[in-house]
Amino acid sequence: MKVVLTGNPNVGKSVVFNRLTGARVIASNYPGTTVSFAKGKMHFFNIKAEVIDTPGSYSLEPSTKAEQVAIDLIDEADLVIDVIDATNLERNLYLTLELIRKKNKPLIVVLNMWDETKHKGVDIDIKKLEDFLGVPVVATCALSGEGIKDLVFAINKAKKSHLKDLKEPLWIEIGKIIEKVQKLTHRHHSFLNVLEEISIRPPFCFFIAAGIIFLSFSLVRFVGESLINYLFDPLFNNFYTPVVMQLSSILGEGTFLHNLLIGNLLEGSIDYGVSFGVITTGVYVPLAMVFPYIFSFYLVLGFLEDWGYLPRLAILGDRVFHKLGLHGYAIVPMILGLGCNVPGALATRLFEERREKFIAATLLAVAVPCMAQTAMIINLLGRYGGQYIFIVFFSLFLVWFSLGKLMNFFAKGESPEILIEVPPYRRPHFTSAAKKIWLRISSFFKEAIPLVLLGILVVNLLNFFGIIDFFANIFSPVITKIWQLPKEAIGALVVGFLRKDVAVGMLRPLGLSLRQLIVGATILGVYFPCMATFIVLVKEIGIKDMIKSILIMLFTATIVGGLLNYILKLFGI
Amino acid sequence: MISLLQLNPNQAGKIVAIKGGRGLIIRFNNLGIREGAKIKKVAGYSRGGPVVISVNGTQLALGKGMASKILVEVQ
Repeated sequence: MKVVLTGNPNVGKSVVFNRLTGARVIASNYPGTTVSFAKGKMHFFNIKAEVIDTPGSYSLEPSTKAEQVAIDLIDEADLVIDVIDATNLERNLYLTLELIRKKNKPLIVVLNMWDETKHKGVDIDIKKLEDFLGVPVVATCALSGEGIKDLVFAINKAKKSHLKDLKEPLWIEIGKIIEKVQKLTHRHHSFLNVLEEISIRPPFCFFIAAGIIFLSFSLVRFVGESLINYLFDPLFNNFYTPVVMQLSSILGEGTFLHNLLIGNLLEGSIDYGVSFGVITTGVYVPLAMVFPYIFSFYLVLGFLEDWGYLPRLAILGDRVFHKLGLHGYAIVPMILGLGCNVPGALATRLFEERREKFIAATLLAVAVPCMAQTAMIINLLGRYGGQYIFIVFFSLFLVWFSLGKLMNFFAKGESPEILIEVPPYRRPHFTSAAKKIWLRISSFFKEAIPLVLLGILVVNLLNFFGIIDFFANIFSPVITKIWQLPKEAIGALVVGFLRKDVAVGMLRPLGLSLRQLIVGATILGVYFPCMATFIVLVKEIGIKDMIKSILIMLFTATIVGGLLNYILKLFGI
Repeated sequence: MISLLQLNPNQAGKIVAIKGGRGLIIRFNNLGIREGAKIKKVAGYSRGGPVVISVNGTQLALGKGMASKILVEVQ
C-alpha cells in the first residue's frame, strides 16, 4: 500500500513522516523545508505501508517545481493523509476539499499541532468534522508523538469522501463547515506573540536582526573553536599522533607509501596542516578542523529554523534581495548554503522563474562559502588576526552583491515578489532538534569524508606523476600575473573541484605571504562550486544555464583575484 | 477604500476588491486573501519593502506590488 502525505506548507508533514516510518528527514519551522519527496517503510502491528513525504502545497494548481512534485505523487497513492495545521483549519480545508473533488482517493485528515489550538483559543469539534467530510479525522501533535497511534489505527478505516459533488465555490462550502465545527475565543497575547510583533516591526526589527546575526556567528565560532582547542586537538595529540609516528618509523621516511599515507615530516614530527598524508591531514582536516564547525553551525541553524526566525529574516531582507533580481525568500538557499552548498542548491526549487533560479544558483555557487571551507579559512587566516578572515568574507559579500546587481541588470525579466506565510514562533523541541543535527552530521561523514580522503590521495598522485606541473604551466599567466600566486597554487584549484576544505588547506604548505593567502582563499570560494554542488545545480537549472553560470564564475574569479591583490597591496598587506 | 500599502500598522480592514489577474487571484485565494476577508496589517516597510498582514489568524508577507492591488475598507 502506498500512503502519500500531503498538506499546506509548514503543517508538519515531515514530522508526521518521521514518526510513522522512523526514517529521518529534515523538518523545520518554515514553509518550504521539504523540496523533494522522501520514501519510508511503515510497519505497525499488522499494518504495513510505503509512506511518501511530499513538499507542501496550498492547492492542486502548482506554482513551483516543488509543488508539482507533490501533486504528481498523489495520483500514485492508495491512501492520502492530508495533514492540516489545526490552528488554521479554514485555509487548510481548501486543499482537503480540492483533494476530495479532484482526486477522490481514500483519505485521512490529520489535525496536527493540536496542542497549539488551546493557546490560540481554537476549538474544533472533531466528531462533527468527521461527519461533514465523511473520512476519519485524527488529532495529533507530531512533535511529541501524541495521536500518532490513532493515525495508524485510522489507516484501515480510511475511505473516500461522499463530498465529491460540491456545487458551490469551495470557500463557500468551507465557510459552512467552519461555522458548524469551529469556535474561536479571544486569547490575550502570549509572550511569544509579543516577540513575534517586535521582531517584525520597523525600526526595532532591524536591530534585533543585526543582534541575532551577530550572536549566531559569534556562537558558531565560539563553539567550533572550543571543540577544537579543548576536545579534538588534545585527542589527536595524545592518542592519534603516537600511533601515526610509530607507523612512520616502520614505513621509513621518503618511501612512496610514507609520502602517500603520512606525507612530509617537519623536523621529524607531524604537522597535520602541512604533512598532507592520507592518514594525517586526510583524517585531521575533516574530523578536527571541519567537523567542529559543522556541528556548531547546525546547532545554531537548527535553533533558528525551529524557532521560526528564517521567514522573518527573509521579510527584513526583501528589499536587498530585490536589487539582485530575487525576493527575500532567497535567503533560505543562501543560509542553507553557508552550511553546505548542496542543500542550498536544492532549495532553489522554491522559486518559480528560470531567471530567479539562475541568479540564486550563481550567487550561491560564487559567493556563499560552505562551512567546511569557512572552517579552513578561519584556521588559515586566524593565526594572523581576525581582520584578515573578515577581509575574505567581506570580499565575498561584495562579489555576491555586485554580481547580483549586474545579473539583475543584464538578464531580461522582472524580479518576482515575495508571498509567504510567516509561521508563529515555536519553542524548539529537544529530541527533534537533536535528531536533525545528527542527520546533518551523518550526511557530512558519509558524503564528505570519502571525498576528503580521495582529494588528498589525488594531490599526492598528481604531484607524484607531475600532472600538477603540466596544469600549472598552462594556467600560469592568470595565476602568477593576475593573482600573483605561485603557479603551484593550481593544485588547490584542481582539488577544489572535489573538496573546498582540502583546497584551502593546500594553500598552507605553499609558504605563501599573507596577501597571497587572502587572495587564494577568496578565489577558491569564487571560481567553481565543488563537484557535489555542480551536479545538483546541473539538475536544477539545466546544463545550458549552468555553462553560462560557470563562465560568470571563472570570469569573476579572474577579476576579483586581481583586484583584491591590487587593493591589498595598496594597504600594504 | 484604500490599498493595503496605505493602511497603518495595527489597523484592521475588510478586503473589498483585488485588482489582479486570474493567477494572482487564485494564489491569494489559496492563502485566504479574498474579497470579504477581514485582515489586519501587522507591519509595513518603507521604500518598496513588503507588507505583513494577518488573515484568519495567519501572518502573511507580500510584496509591495501585490499589496497595492488589494483594496480594503478600514474598520
